[in-house]
Amino acid sequence: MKRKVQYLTIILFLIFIFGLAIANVFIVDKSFSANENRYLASMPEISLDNIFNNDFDEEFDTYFNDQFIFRDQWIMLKSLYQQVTLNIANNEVYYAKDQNLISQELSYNEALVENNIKYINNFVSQYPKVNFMLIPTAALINKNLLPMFSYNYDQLAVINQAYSNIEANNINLVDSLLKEDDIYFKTDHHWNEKGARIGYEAICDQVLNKEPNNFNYQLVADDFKGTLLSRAGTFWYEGDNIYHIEPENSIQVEMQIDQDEKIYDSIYVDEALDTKDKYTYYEGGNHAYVKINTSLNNGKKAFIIKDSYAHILIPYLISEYEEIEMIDLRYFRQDLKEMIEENDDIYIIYSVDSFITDTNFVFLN
Amino acid sequence: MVFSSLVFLFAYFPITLFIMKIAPIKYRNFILLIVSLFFYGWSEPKYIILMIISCIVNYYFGHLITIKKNDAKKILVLLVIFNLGLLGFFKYYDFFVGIINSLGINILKPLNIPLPVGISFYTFQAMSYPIDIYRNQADEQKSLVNFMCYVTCFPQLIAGPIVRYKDIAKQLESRIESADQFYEGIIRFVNGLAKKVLLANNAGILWEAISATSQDQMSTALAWLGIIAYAFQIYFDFSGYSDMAIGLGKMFGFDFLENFNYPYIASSITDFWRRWHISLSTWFKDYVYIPLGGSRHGMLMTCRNLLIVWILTGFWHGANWNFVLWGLFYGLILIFEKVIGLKLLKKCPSFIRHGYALFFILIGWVLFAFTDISSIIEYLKIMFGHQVLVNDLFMYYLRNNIFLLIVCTLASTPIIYTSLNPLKHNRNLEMLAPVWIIVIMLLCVAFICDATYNPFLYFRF
Repeated sequence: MKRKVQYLTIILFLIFIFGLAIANVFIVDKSFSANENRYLASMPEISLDNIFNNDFDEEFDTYFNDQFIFRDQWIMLKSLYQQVTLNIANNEVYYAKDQNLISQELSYNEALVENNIKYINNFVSQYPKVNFMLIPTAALINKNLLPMFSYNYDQLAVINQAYSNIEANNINLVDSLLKEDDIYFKTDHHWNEKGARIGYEAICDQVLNKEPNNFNYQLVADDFKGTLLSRAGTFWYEGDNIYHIEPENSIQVEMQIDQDEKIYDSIYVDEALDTKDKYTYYEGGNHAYVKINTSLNNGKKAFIIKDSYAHILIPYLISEYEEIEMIDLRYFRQDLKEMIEENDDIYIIYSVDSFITDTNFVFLN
Repeated sequence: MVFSSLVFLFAYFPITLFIMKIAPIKYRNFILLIVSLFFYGWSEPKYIILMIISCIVNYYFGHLITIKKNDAKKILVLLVIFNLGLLGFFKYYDFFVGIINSLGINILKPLNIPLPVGISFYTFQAMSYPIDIYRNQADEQKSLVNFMCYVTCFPQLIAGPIVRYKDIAKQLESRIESADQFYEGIIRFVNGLAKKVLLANNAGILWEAISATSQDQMSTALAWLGIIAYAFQIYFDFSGYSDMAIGLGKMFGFDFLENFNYPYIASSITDFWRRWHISLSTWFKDYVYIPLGGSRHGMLMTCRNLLIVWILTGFWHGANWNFVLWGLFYGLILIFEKVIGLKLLKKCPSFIRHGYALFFILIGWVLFAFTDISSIIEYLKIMFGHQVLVNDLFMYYLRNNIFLLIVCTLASTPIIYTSLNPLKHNRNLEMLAPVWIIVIMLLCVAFICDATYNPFLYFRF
């Protein structure tokens, strides 16, 4: 009896090691990982020079890891193990209630925040009126969904610090967001169409002084698996919904990205719905510069300095402006002064998570 | 190459195993030598030459001692100088230059050469051969291949256990490779892999996070949790590696000596050092402490010898002051125990003895973990009297790692092994062995893959 178990153990072990090793040789290399949003390493060149003078071993190691068979399934197994063994977070993402995923930030760089406040104030002082919107993240608004004993930096303190020190028209959002549920994607860090609608209402109330318009929502995808899901490795979670947001009074738009020649006739990029990052459905994701012209003839122009949270706000704002220019400081390297026109409504729209980590506010000046 | 990497597990290991098992017995040492050199040269091919030189010179010293019995003592001095010179140059040169420079004498420049992996281990191993011959504890090895195979043998090449020549001389000539032993090797290897990947690495992540926490987020409880995590990390990392080495050794027919024996259940520091990194303390005892006279020449000399051995032991762990301090710390405690401590401890109830040992082991790890003295002092300050005793961050780390901490605690004691170890003649439990190895292997591969998993939140450039 004993011997049989021993042989079985040996055989299983050998099958496991040799089976995976051999199967791994035959799988075809991938060039891009959608889950990780990065290019995977390819086989390094085998040459004496590479082996003796360069880091062939490390390159090969990276290649072997990146291209290892069943990579996503292994990641998923680890996440599953973390859940089963009572962890409340995996890869800095909390397993929150009802299959919500919420990003974990234990601390932030106070000096960076102070600098960012300084840069923004410097910018604000050069224009008659700048509207500043800090969008809280789910870690603050969905605190009640977080598991017990979870920990995040005090986001409210950061917002208060920013709003009491930045001399702009600061748009208050926290209270109205706290009143609603389901305003963030469950699997992604961004706010969803419902959250952005509250942001739009706050703009109507605190900037434009008007009643908000009405919109129709059309479901275009129900399997958006966002970046938090990729990080947490919970690939078995259900995806989120993506909506096409249409103003009740139909509006024609033209969108131009990065001063390219191509003109889109919509702010929505349908191809994005076939990719993994479906949030890029809204204006095609991150670009240095996006210009949108609408069929409104009201002469109103918006100039928006933003992170990606603003992308889902644009469908609402096109019902208010004849022209919207949107720049991303991470990529945009032209002089802002020349871009901003006198009667533009200037907005700075950032999520708190970007605000505490982004080092590009220096380019405001 | 490390055992807990995909390249090792699914490329190097299966190929090596296959070649070794199909090769005719008489060529196996030679093949083991070749695959070991490949293993070693994988990350730093140039240093293969250094290791080969070390092997050949020590082999030759062994030969010289055998044929020139009259001059054996002189040869012994030469070989010690050669080996320590080699180790000293590659491991400690920059450290000493740093000391000299700090005294204001700028005649030498640090070389910044990378430390050859495993040099501390293979140097000790290689030099034990001529010394054992000198002491008539071993006969001359007739085959250079066999000798090199002993020094470079890949399972224990990089992180031990340090094998003494006399312990393995017979196995180099002939060894039996049986299914029984292969099976034991698998269990041992898989358990070691689990210790490293599932326990040590995760405890390490916890320690990394806590030791990088800013002062204003620290609390006394958090500092203690941090150093406990570090204690788990270093133990499971090291003993896991030894288990994997012993397991691989068994698969190829070797029997290496044990290196750890549940060090954290020690009832005194003396006891701890009988249980921790046994092959190293045995080596120092055999080749330094006893030649110095051991404890045969009165209390004063014994204390001197202990201090020398422990400062050297500390220094062996790394070229830095904190390791010297760490060695000195243990030297002093061991002297204390030798003089009076053990007698006092005997009168204490068991929980005090264990508490005492664990307390000093943890303080020791603070000295070991930080290479600069000011960080050590800062961390100790938080451990003993920070204004905040417990904070939310501590509660989070405790909550998120509770399972890990419980498993680590249990695995530090013999409880699991004695009651669950399939090798312990429990037939019913042995039925679990195949399930156990598959589950553990699956989880380990999952964790190894996850460690290289890097989702980028933002747009690719």
